Amino acid sequence: MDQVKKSIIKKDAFALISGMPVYTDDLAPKDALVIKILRSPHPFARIKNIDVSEALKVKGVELVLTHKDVPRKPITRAGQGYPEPSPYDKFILDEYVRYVGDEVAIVAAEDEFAAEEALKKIKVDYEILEPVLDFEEAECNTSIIHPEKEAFSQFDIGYMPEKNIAASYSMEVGDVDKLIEECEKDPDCVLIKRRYYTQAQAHVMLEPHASFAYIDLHGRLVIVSSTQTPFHVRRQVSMVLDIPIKSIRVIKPRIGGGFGGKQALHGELITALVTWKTKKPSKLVYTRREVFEATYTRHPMRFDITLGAKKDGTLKLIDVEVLSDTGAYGEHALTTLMVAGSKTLPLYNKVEGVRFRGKVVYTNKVPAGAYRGYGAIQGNFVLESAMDELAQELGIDPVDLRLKNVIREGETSPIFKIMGEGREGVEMIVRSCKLEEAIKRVVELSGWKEKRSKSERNGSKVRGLGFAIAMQGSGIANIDMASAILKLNDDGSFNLLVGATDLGTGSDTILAQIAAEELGVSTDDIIVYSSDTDLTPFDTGAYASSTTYVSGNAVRLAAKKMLKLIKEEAAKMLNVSPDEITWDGKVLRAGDKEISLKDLATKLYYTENQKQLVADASFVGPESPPPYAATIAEVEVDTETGKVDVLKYYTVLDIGTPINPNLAKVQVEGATMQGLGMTLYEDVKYSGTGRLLTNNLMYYKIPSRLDVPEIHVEFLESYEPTGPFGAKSVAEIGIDTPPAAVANAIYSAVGVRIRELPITPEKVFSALKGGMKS
Amino acid sequence: MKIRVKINGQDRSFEIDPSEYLLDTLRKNGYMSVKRGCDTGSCGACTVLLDGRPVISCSVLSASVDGHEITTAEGIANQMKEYMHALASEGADQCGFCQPGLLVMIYYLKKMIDKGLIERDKETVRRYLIGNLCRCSGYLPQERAIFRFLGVD
Amino acid sequence: MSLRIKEYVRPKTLEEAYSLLQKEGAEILGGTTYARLSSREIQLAIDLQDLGLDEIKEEENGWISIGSMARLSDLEFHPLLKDFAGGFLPYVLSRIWSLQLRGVATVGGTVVPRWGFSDFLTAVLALETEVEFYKSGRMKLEDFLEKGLKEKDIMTRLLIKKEERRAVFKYMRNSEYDFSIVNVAVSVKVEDGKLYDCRIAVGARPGVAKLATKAMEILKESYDDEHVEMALHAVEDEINFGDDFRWSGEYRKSVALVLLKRALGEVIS
Ligand SMILES: Cc1cc2nc3c(=O)[nH]c(=O)nc-3n(C[C@H](O)[C@H](O)[C@H](O)COP(=O)(O)OP(=O)(O)OC[C@H]3O[C@@H](n4cnc5c(N)ncnc54)[C@H](O)[C@@H]3O)c2cc1C
Ligand code: FES
Ligand code: FES
Repeated sequence: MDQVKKSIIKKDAFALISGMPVYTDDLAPKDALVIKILRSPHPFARIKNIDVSEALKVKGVELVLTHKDVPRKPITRAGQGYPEPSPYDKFILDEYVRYVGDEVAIVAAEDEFAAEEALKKIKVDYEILEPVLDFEEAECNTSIIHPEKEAFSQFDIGYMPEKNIAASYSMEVGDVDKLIEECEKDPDCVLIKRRYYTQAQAHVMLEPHASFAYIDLHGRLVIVSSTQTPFHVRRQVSMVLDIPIKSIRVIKPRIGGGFGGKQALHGELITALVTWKTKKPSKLVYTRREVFEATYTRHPMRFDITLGAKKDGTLKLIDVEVLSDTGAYGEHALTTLMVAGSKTLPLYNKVEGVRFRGKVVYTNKVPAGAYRGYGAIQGNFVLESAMDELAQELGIDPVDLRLKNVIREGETSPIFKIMGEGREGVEMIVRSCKLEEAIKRVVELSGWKEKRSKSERNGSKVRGLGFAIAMQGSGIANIDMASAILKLNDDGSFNLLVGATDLGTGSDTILAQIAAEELGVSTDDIIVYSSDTDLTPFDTGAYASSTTYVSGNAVRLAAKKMLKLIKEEAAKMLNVSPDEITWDGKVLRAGDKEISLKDLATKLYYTENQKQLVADASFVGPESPPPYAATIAEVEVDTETGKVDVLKYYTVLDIGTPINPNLAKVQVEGATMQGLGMTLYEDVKYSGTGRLLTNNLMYYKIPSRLDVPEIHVEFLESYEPTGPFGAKSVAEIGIDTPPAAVANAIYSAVGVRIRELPITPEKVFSALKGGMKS
Repeated sequence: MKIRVKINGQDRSFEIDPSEYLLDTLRKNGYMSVKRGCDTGSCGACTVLLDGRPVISCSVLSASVDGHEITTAEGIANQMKEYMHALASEGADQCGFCQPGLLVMIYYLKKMIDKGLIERDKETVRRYLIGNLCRCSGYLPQERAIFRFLGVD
Repeated sequence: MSLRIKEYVRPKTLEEAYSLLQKEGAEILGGTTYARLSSREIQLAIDLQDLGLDEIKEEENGWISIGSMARLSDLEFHPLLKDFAGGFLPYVLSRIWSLQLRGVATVGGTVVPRWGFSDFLTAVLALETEVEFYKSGRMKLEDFLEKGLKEKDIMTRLLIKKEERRAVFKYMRNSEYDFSIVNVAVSVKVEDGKLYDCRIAVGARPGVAKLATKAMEILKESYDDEHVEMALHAVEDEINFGDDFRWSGEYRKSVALVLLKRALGEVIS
């Protein structure tokens, strides 16, 4: 059949577009208690006293909870495989508040007005503590953000709370110090050392975090949540609230975007707690301000990078030292740090020495967590900007410098084995890699050669082109597990049950396409039900670009088994051996005997050899094949105002087989705009007292429709032998290249190098005026 | 207090709080196509038509719509099948959270363009849609569908 | 948290509205788009929608009269403004946030609070514009913007002199869907191919829009390059620019001068 490499319409499309009630808040029971949270106005304080008596008197208030009323059990909210590589440093509510926005008390009331009224009546007496607001001063600061004894890490992640360090890591291949020394002395070598910064980008998925809970007829706790990780939520809630896993069901309905921001507990613990205590349904829907102030951001990072190369462009060494800011809690601290290296450094696999070190520090700011790109976008901005600087220094075309040094098909990198996510990785030969072809193609598409040779000036406006490459992964090798169940119906259709979590990307449809292709039927005949811990099999969740590759492989294996079962049953029915059976998607034949799938299924249900055909399979990726991208951005800089317009953006990718080319393209287009947002617009500002000022969509600017350049996305013919029908991942790769490609283009246009994201017009302007060191 | 409104052609009356906004009144009464994406009038997910003009319902006081007419995505979706199909064919529906608000805008723009009140031009259409944020799609797939549907080039 | 309203009324006459407004905690409602962003309590919210204040029309004596309850989108699409000053106002209005916001936000809610960030105020200030209040009467917009009102009053109309003007509005934003970092508007009267009475307004400084009166004086003498240069210097002296948490005053100033130079270039050519 031809169900993959086909742009099939998403199964939920019409329900979504017409506005059917399909999201968490649309489905919440009308009589659910409304939960509101009192949040800390101080970046760091101890609650000396908290008095809720007046709040309890407000009409309609059902429950008020403070740290005194909840179990004190540390947890990490990170939605990661268990045991997680993130410190267990968060409590449902605590005596300490560690950032402006941290939870102080929980109110549940009949309606929003009553809940808000009650919030105003809670009296809190704080002992204000000295906050740590500058992450460069966090390490060994006299203020210790996590002094509590209960916090711990499940295994060694370099957790040193007494120094405000949530995680740390280092690795080295070759003797980098020696190589640096050699390079410094060798007149045939060039060495550059640079410092870069990236900001705390916000996800801004359009649906704010929401969850509700109720008790079912068996007295079990049901949590409906807009989460990327329903199975992790079930485990985490069970651990903290001491409710057995068997008494919890987590359902993810349609969700209004995630991008990593919903790869964590945000609210579920609280709705679960309120409902468990009151036995009444309750819901918690975050305001946009709460999403900004009290969920997650991308980890802001500082990088010191050293590159050494021979004059002919042979890269000799890469040395990267990172300081990452995890905010008040350490979710995803270690892994985002490691990914900044593990998903960038293998691009240049032929260096003699590579070193990657870093620390992730606590500060009294909004916690950082998972976000599409997950360290790789930060690392990529730095590595690919620095490569551009190196090319400049060497007098070599940046494209040629890459071509000389990039990884190619059939090669490997020691990094794959050394750096996993929070642990060691796995050895991996790169079986599919069209990076070199991608580079050549994007050069051709963009007119790089002709355009680089002459600079275009129009009044105060100057154009320039910038180049960058990137890689990601496809799931986390040896950790991410997915499973699938296929069930034959009596009309010959199939139910596909998957734990995988469609965030709006269309993964339900893509998994149905994979099942259909393997079964040889139409995607219309696959009915998908996903993400319900009672009814669907386990899946670690939608993150790390895992769904198509990891869940897709599980679906494919289940479909293989199902087809085998069908053939066996048909063989029995037709009195032949299973290998004699042929199958065309409708009818099973052996010689002149035949039976349609529908008849077979009906017979199996009602008359002969009665049984239900069910097939299941699980898959753990033995490796994580990287997709690749090569990008060229064309910008126009207004030299009088510093304003940067991205005019054209070309990106050529190797994602293996695109199962659904339309949906794959949209992933890249969407990721590109998020990447351009981080590059140019999404500025994060705090007040001197640790309050996030860019806490709404008026001041935090995601790209608008009028900020979109011409974007050309092209996929190269590529086939990943370990992927389902040759597929790798596509969800994240598109976000990685925009920052460096644009920064490099600005340099090429006007000769200023901005090493701190976002690249605002004011920064470009002051650099042009020479007010900034470049 | 009590308000009377016509919603999608139907006369309705609601008991409301004077501090309530139209977005909440609509959602409380089952018009779930109207979404809340922000608290500052910025995202457009809550867009409805008020007396035929697009408004952000999160910013309209419910008390002020007493005696007026409202149209939500529920009321027009069946007239917008061709558009929905165009959008779905591009894979532009994505998470969908921005879609009902966008659908209302497209319905309005189509009418205005057909009447000659808004120019049939890409930049113009883009500008009128600037208040409909989308974080998933990067806007391009939406626009391929929108321009096709509106006959804009 | 959000704006709370104790009581809501729709008076039937201006007189009634005015006397209600004098009560403690009483406030006029415009479109509530901005009001709702604050968290306070209004004791008595006065909705003017039944007073016919949304009318936009041409007065016999050469003024365009815009009711304070007119929505920004009403103005944007009104035939009267389409041809006036080359469609200057519809252009500016179409740059303000979103169509859905403009469908709610009112002229009164834009003028009365004297928003610093306003694009609209900068634009109308560069025209000859007056504002009318129920009790305080009619005054020049520049006077109102500078001094405000002493007492609670109801704005009834905005009045724009309908004359042959060439007008240009320029703004600087990073993302296009944002407030202006700084904005400028310049207009000149054109009679028999000659230029008169140049008005220069600078807004989002981030303070409220202001006329560059010294620069305007200089241009009365001549519109040649030298005078334009002098006018720009004058602007640098007479207009203050400040920091906010997003952009520095220094940057605003530099950009304002660039935009002004460009705008002057366009109206003079
Ligand atoms: C998210 C957002 C973005 C914006 N972006 C821009 C932009 O980019 N550029 C720009 O120029 N503007 C912008 N604005 C401002 C907008 O154009 C309006 O000026 C503003 O929203 C107020 O309109 P409103 O009618 O809703 O006023 P309201 O919020 O209802 O009222 C504001 C104040 O005016 C008073 N008031 C209203 N009418 C009268 C009257 N007749 N008499 C006396 N007092 C009165 C009210 O009592 C209140 O105190 C933005 C506004 C918002 C909310
Ligand atoms: S909810 Fe965002 S604009 Fe109304
Ligand atoms: S589709 Fe998700 S925000 Fe637009």
